[in-house]
Amino acid sequence: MRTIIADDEYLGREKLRLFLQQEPEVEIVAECQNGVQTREALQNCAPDLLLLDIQMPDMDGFQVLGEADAEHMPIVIFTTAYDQYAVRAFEAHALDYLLKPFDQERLHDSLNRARAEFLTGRHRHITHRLLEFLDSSRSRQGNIMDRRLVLKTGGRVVFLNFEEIDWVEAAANYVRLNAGTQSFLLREGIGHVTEKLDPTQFIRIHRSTVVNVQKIKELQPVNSGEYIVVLKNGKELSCSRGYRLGLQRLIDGSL
Amino acid sequence: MATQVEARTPRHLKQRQMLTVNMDACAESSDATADAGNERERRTAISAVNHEDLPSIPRQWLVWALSFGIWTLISVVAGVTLYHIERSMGKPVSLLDELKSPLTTGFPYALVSPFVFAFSIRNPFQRANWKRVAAIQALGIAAMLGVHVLVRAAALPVWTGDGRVYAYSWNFQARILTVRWDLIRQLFLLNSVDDILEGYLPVVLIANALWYYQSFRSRERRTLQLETQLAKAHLETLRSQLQPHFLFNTLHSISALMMTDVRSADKMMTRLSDLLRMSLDNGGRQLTILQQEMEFVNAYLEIEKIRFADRLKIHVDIAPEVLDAEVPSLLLQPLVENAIRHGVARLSRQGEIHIAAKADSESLQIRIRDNGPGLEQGNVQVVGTHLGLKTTRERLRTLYGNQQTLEVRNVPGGGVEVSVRIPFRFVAMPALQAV
Repeated sequence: MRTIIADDEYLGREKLRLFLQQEPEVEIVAECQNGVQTREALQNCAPDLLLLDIQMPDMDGFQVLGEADAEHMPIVIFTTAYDQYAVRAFEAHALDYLLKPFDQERLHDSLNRARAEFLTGRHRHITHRLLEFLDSSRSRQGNIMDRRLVLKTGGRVVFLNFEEIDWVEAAANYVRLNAGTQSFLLREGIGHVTEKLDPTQFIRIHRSTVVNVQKIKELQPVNSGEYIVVLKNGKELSCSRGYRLGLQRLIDGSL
Repeated sequence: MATQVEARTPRHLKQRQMLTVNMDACAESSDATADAGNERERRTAISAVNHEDLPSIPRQWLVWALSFGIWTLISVVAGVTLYHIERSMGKPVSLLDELKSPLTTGFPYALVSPFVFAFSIRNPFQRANWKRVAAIQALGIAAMLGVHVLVRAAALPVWTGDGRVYAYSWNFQARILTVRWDLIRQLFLLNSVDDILEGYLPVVLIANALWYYQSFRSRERRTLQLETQLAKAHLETLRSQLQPHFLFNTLHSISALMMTDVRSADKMMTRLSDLLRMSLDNGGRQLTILQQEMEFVNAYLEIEKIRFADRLKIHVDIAPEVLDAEVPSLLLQPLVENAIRHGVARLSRQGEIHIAAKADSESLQIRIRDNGPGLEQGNVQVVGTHLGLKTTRERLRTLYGNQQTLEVRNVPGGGVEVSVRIPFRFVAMPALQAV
């Protein structure tokens, strides 16, 4: 992947350079110190990947992207020391978000995700949406299908794809998203989270439980018409009678 | 931001709960007043003599209605009683006759009482000004007597030697007002004691009692607020002792590691910044949930694992149902740090740290065990007053009173176990990072 590094600090660029040398397939085609240089590099170098610092002296990262050509937009990974403002703006639009300082391992994970996006070609679509967002004052809820949630956990910013979520449980006024061996806390009501989830993929089986259909291994009927939902990872959840209908439809639909 | 506490906590903990709940509210720098805002208190009238929060004064129409209602009732009862007495003595009186006198008393009472009440509740008898208030009340008594005599004299004739004579009368044609002063004086004397004891004093007493009760309640409320703020401030100082300590320790480790193993130093630095971010996000809140606290501990443990490499093994056993339990923030990390520093660091063989948490219906128990050299006999006190544990103990005491324990003891087979027991609660999460 042809890569551009953009950071106003020399040390920041140096660190990225050192780390990227360890990454196969990554070729640094340009290093930029400010917004103007970045813009020019975007136009001239046709990069696949851009590692962009949000805070640069002349214009910030968003402005740089705003002026770039949508057709030749690379995958963008933002790097910044600040988590507050950018996170909100980039929910479901940013490709990834690295909080400084980051180590080789984190950069590597990030690059893996970028590679995956690159291969599926979705990055164009996403950054296009990003530009739409930057241009228009339309509400984010517009006509964009969010595929991710943004969470802060363990001091990092995590982008959780919906498809990675196994099941969601509610507790008091926050929800716990269970994905594989990890669980993340999100401070919203389960109703809000359910709104964002695709209803054909996520089914509510209990007042405080929502399940990703893809992760269901089997359904065990229990007497009195209830079910036990067994997930692929072995977790067992109970489906309360009130929500049985959704589950029923799922079964009927797939028969 | 309402923090709700589940009903599972025993009632006698309610006081402490309020303390906890209010502190979270304080930490959010929202309105620190726990006052539920008695609506009537907002509509208070003129301030009392000492300019404190004025207790609420019942609405005017209520006072008037009560005044007339009660006095009429009393008068009617008195009249009926008199009627029955007279009847039983064989006198041929009618109920109406017997009602006249009590009602003639009751009516002035009813008229004057609201004013007496209004004055009394705004000017209660207090040590500072009782003389002044007493003087004014004396005037009030005089006024009450005056009104009573006026009404009575006009309504009813007085028994005299000459028969029944009106104390004063107005001759329409001659336009002359005849006043029998001797009769007037007689009326005064006849009724003064009754008026004072039955009509005036009860109202004054009720008003004063009401004032004192409300002022007591508001003082109680204010004391609770003060206590909460004090506890919060106290906890703040305790908290601030915890952080720089491990921060500089870790920086030192990084600076050492930097010379020999750059990658590990870099990793340690990243984890440290994670820790910093987490504690900054926490925003100085006193309480968090166990899951979040464990995230913090885990980030800390990753740093230690870099330092110790294979010499450190961590076992974590947290029952899933306690992940949402309320715990003081930054409670566990210092304890784990202690276990590593005094336990594992001194070992040449592999060190192990066990962290376990479980709960029964009443309390949450967290245990941190190491397999180090253990406490020397008789040295438990020393460890107990070690800086880290001392602040932890104080903090737990401030938060939970007697409902908590912190024990440090040797484990058979070697090592030390620190065991913390606090009330098992679920609290709606104020400390979560909102993204």
